[in-house]
Amino acid sequence: MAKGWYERIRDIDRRWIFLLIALAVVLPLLFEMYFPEIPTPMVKQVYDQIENLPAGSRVLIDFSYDPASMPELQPMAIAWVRHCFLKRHRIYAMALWPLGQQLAVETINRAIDFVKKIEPGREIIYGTDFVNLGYKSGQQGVIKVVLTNLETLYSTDINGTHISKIPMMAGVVNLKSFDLIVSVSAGLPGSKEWVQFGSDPAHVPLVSGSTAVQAPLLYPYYPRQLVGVLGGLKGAAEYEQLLFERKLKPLLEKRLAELGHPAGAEDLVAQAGQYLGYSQLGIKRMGPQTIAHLVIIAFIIIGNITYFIDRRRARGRKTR
Amino acid sequence: MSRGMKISLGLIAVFIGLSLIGVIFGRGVTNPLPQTEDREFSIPNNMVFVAPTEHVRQVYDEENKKTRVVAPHGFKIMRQAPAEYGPRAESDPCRPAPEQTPRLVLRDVRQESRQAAVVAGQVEVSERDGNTYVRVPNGGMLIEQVFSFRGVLVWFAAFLTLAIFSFMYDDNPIYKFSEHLFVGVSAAYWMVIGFWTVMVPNLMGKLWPTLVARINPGVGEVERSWLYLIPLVFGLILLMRLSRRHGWISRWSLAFIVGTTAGLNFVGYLASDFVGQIEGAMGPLVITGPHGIDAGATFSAVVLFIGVLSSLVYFFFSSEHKGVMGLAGRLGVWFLMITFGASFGYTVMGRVALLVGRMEFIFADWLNVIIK
Repeated sequence: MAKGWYERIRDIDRRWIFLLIALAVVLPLLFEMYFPEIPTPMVKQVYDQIENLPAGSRVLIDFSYDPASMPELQPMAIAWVRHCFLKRHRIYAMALWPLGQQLAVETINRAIDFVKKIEPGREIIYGTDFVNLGYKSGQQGVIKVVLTNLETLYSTDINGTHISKIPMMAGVVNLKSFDLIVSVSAGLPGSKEWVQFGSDPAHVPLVSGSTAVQAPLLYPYYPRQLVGVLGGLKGAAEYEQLLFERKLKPLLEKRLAELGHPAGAEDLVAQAGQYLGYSQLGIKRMGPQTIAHLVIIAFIIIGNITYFIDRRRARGRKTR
Repeated sequence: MSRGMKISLGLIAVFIGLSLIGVIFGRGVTNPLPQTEDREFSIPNNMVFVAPTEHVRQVYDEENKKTRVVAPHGFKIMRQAPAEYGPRAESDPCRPAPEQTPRLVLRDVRQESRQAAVVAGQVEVSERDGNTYVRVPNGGMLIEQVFSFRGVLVWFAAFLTLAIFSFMYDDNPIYKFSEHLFVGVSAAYWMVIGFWTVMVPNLMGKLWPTLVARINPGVGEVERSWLYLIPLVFGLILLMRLSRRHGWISRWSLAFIVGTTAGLNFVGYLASDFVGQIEGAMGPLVITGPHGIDAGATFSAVVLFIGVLSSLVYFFFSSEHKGVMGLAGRLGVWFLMITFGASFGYTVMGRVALLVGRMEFIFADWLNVIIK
């Protein structure tokens, strides 16, 4: 017997759903659909924590993720490193995931390129403004060791230079030597382990940027044990928006005017992208994300309606 | 023809179709052929670049306030290292008095034959024996013309991405190949990184510093410690697992790992997850701000209080869930369900973000249809 429209919707092949989700992601990407981002109080707290540190503060950034979680975490990592360089904090990069050390190199290089473009003549020197300590295995054991003595594990940086020869390592003994810990994490070991073995015992403020999957596990630590959490792509997009509004907007406008390409408020981001290589990866990616969510919500509603119709029909058959 | 083969052929057709879309609508699909390209490397503080003086050209960039030292035939890259590392070492002409750094000399790192340029705000240049020595005291960039396989790799990565997506239609041989390749490459990468960043500096570097310093000068500056023989032995014992007859010996190492991990985690969880969370949950119910009672924060505190209490009641099995206990337990279930729902929502968001990342790779990095 031929299926009616109701049966067709109820028994829809999962591959049609995959296709619709793919279209929901691809079409907004192709037509560059963005939505406004309104930063939440938690994201503002994370921003203020970095902003209120005096210039030259020591910020330890843990790049504990890999290419699999790059789409979610790279935007927030870039935003943080940009923010730290603009505030002239000293960045100490490390990784508890093997591939994190290379992602740290990529992230820092991108941020340096951008900062140098908006602040021409600015020198960002390896060993003075930033250092990459690289990856060490041992998961939470690494945090436990650097809590008391950093040199036990990190005797050299990623280039093989002994840390005693790196100017900005002078005075860095253990975790307590840092003013802030930033954990960009995709799982274990990550932000949770930093709370348990790093920031809590060392009493150093910790901010976390985590994958969306991991974020609900971190909220219980807020606000006593964690200053704030950037949860997935949404958190990254909100942070990008905040950084743009509060810090980058005047800098970009000034630099574009100097270059002879004055931009209005409408096309500032586009102009900055064209001439200064500025990008808002998180905000851009939230467009497809929003449309895909709408499609998923539609399917959840359809699924529930068919469930209740089936249940009513079954009851009707029983009573007959 | 089997179903798997048909799907594989379909995948190849999609791959060709997409690349045609890129050719027609994009700004030019990534060139799939190997080619030379300029690549930038950051220069650490202990590097010296050497080239025959007749080949070296120095230009000052007024706008960026930087010096560019160009060597069309490439630089020999040297590194500061202690003197005992080998006969190839020679004294450093950029340093004025050898007695100030008596043990530091230069050692070859590699010989470059392609065009290269050093760009930095400050450079120290000196000449000796027909060679120019360039040191960058505050770091800078080395721009080298390298032979790049990026285009080939981008095409291969795009094909592998589509191959993994093909599983959503059905299983097929190309998907299997991609999956196995991913697992193999990941395992190999982890092993190599683990060896060079942990085994070499933290184990071999502590046991045989002079030997390891020949590969990595920085590591050699630590004192030898025979205590590290213990982890070496434990590590070797762990490998006994490969032997069917002597595999039981590996349990000693495993027992040590399990015991240490349990001990470490116990303290961390107790302090941060147990005591810390209880402390965090015991906040005031009425929150005041500079303008009196903060309604939003107070509402959150009350919801948190009721949520924690009712969820705990749901897991309290010492008395029957009837009356007030039953009501609180049912409320606890609602709180738990809302929490699970929020977690699921976040999971969906994470997965969609990964899909967006892959689509961006296909349409921006490979096909050039959009700008990243």
